[in-house]
Amino acid sequence: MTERSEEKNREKERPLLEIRDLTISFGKEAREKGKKGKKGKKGIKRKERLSAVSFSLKKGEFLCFVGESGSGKSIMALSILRLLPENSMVEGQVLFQGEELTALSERGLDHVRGTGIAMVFQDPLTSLNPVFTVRKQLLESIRKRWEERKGEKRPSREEEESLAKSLLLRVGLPDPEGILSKYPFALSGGQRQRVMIAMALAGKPSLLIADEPTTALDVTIQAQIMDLFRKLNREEEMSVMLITHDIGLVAQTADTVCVMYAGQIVEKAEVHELFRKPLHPYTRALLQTVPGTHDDPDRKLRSIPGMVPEDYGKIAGCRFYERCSERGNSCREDQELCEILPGHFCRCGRAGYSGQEARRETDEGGRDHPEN
Amino acid sequence: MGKYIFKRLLIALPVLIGITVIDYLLMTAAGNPLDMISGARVSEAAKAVRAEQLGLNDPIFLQYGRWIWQILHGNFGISLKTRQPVSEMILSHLGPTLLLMGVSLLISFLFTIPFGVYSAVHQYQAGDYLIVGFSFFAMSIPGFFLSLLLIYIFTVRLQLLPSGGMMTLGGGGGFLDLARHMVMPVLVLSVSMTGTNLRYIRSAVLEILGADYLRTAQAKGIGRFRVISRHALRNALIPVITVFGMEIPVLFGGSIIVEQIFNWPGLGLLTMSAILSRDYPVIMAVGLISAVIVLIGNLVTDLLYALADPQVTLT
Amino acid sequence: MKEDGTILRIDQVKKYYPRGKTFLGKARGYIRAVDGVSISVRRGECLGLVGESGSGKSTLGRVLAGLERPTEGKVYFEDLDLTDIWKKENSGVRTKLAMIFQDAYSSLNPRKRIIDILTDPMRYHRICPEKDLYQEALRLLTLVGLHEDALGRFPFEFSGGQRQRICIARALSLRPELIICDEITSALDVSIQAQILNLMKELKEELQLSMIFIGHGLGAVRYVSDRLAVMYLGKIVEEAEADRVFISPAHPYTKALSLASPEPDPDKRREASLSGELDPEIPETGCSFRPRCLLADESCRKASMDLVPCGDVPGHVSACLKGI
Repeated sequence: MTERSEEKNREKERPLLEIRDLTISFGKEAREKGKKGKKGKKGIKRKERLSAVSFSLKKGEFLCFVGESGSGKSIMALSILRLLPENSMVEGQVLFQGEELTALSERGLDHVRGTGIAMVFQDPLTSLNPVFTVRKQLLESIRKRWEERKGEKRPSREEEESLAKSLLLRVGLPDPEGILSKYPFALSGGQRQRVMIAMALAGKPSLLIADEPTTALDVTIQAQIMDLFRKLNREEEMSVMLITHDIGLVAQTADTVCVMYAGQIVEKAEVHELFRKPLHPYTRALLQTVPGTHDDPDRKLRSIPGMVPEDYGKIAGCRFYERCSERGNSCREDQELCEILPGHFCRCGRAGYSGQEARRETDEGGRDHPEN
Repeated sequence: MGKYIFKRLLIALPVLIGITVIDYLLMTAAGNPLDMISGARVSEAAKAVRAEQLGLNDPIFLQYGRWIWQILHGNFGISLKTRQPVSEMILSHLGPTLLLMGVSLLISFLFTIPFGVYSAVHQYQAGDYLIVGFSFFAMSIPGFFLSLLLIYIFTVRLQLLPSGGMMTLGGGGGFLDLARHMVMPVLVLSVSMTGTNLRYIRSAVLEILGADYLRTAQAKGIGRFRVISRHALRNALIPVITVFGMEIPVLFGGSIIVEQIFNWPGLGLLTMSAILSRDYPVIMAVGLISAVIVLIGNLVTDLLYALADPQVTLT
Repeated sequence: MKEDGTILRIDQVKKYYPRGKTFLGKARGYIRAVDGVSISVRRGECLGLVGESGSGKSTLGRVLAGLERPTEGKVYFEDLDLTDIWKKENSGVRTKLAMIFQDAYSSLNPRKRIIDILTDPMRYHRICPEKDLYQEALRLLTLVGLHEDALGRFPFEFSGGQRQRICIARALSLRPELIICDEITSALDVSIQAQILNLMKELKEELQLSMIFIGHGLGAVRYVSDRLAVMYLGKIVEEAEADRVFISPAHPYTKALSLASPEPDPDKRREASLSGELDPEIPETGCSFRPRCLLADESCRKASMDLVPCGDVPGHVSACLKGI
């Protein structure tokens, strides 16, 4: 190829992962479609869970997705490696290192899984196979890497073993020999999650997607795991995509933040920028719902009334409208994700002019509404 | 492991003693063995003498003790009908039954595991419907009816297979001859088992397919085949073992009918003829042997459990 | 009621679970889930219990609610010795204590309507006459911020936050004086968590309730509590006014815990402050936090874990003063 050198130059600017108009829906029709062409059966309901999400992730970037349950953040993460159940339908483009993943066959995608993009899941107990030892599951990931690199000499059993041990040491498990021969149920929650991370690192991925990796863990262990992610990100230039509902974790780790609500990205900005100048009313509300350990004793926690709407694919206009304390008439129209400040995107038509005003208002503390 | 087996055998002992007691009491309640031995023409006086000789007038626990003592020495008594030692009869009939059961179990599982997995992986597709349909059919068709149907087709119509027995009389025998005789009884026994097993395995695999660790395996990129064959199957084995354990007694009961129809010289046939001719010593022995086999089956199931599931520790 | 307004007081409560059994069914060892805890709750006060999982805070909650009998020690409710009374079934004391759990869904019978969920306990304990039950159920529902139309519906028709509200209403139905909340917001989203926390705070004021609030989200527990106790491996290591505990912690564990809680401020990024994990193999002597403590030295091998006052701040006690 003659374009090779040129392409290398572009490599640096080209995003590692680029997602364009990713829309995901669930329902029976998705399955019927494969079998009977495009004719869906009559009266079949399909629920949209993610609506035209676009973003890109640079090499070495630490990108956080934050949102409540039902915001579509986990579904989005799973769809990248096509790990969603069969009744899902995914539209849009997923470009990883310039390669269109949605066009790949299952077998083709297997070359990306583990070695290009690796994943760490929420519940480390159920995410590890209960009947295999850590050794067996970790070696499987290590071998996968060599299967990918054809031509290279496969490491010997001893080399694999020492590789496994060094991986466990790297994720902060001090007794790799002991851990290797244990079954997942014999490990603590933190140890299990570290094993999961070791498995993910075994394939030397350029992107690590972590879906709520510390939700099931204690804050002390969570802090250790986050340290590890930051270290991997900083020292080894591994891109990390962290999915979480914890705004505190976002502040502690992210370079860039995407705030998700009801299947859409509602705000995207650099982390300091987002926490200093939250533009979307939802982001602002979210920041005020988190109780801290050093809060003013008289602080009144703000709560967002109501809950994430059920079938949000059908809502016309702003999807936060029902719960928003700053809504106006223009909110009845569909909102676009616009760059309001340089590098700071927001999906709220009022953010541009009312941002300043609204911030002052919420600083005084919001009113409390019951849920329904 | 050895310690566990020892412990389990120790626990099995009271169960076994209980079974012998029930076994003995039932048989005693069933009627006077003297009537069977002697028939109608013998005088009451002669009967009384005989009863005294046999110790039938002694207290029941003494009689029970004598019976147990003999059994512990391998003596199950003499058959009232054939005048042969019962232990010999049992031994000669046990082999064929175990052969029939073993082969049926094996064939059933060989068939069920791949098809059950296929059915689950291709849920709600044509192949799945076909397999589920078959399993319903197999579960609901009565064994005796299927037997007669098979005999009608393969023996009467096609004249391919012998209708009964284990060997051709006077023939040289050999493996092929045995196999020809086994086809139909094995088919009947394994079809009914396959029906239930298919459903168990299908639902076990279906549940596992939704498990988080399968998603992890998929995310590793090791390929669909390895995800299923390595990660899913090993986990699906655990519920299958439970089914296996439940199946042994069922199989034992089922074989009585099948052996009767196909004239298979196994324990079932022996039991049936013993019951019809009120051959008490044989009935008692068969009852006891069946109980022992079921107990051993349970023990084997538990050991298999420990092998399949690391969370089960044998203590 | 006591002079100082103490409603619940426990004295050296221990709860041990047998671990491993020998051939004859004798315990090989014990898990010391709660290992000599003494606390008291004043009327109208909310005591927060925090600690990592395995610290024994939930077990302590269950002991206080009478769901578990303590292995040793006494539980006094308004000067009544509950350890005696619980042996007799259904004394009236039971209705004065209520407990709410983390999983609101499995705590509600899926085949009962909300009206029955709320009125059944009242009917059983004859809290109010039959004809007033509906009005009473409605009052409870309004109290927790739900509408009347919820009464005829089933639990599955509600969201997680609403279900937790129903659980709270049910807990209130017997007009308890003390409510024990075990991780009630852990399964909820932050925006819903804030709703429930505010609700609990309001209820406490309105109904003059005493509360024990158990949780692992430090901010959330601190928000509703007046006083906070930090637990580690079955023992309380520090206890103080809620506002004080994390601002000026005395015990190194409290300090570490507070630093591990992720602060929602990107300018205050912190490294993990505590290494290792909670290890249930408790050292036989000395401080049980010793293996993970950054400040541990030789003296900690023999140190007692008795609570000592921290300076001259009333009510602030700690098992170690190294963190100051």
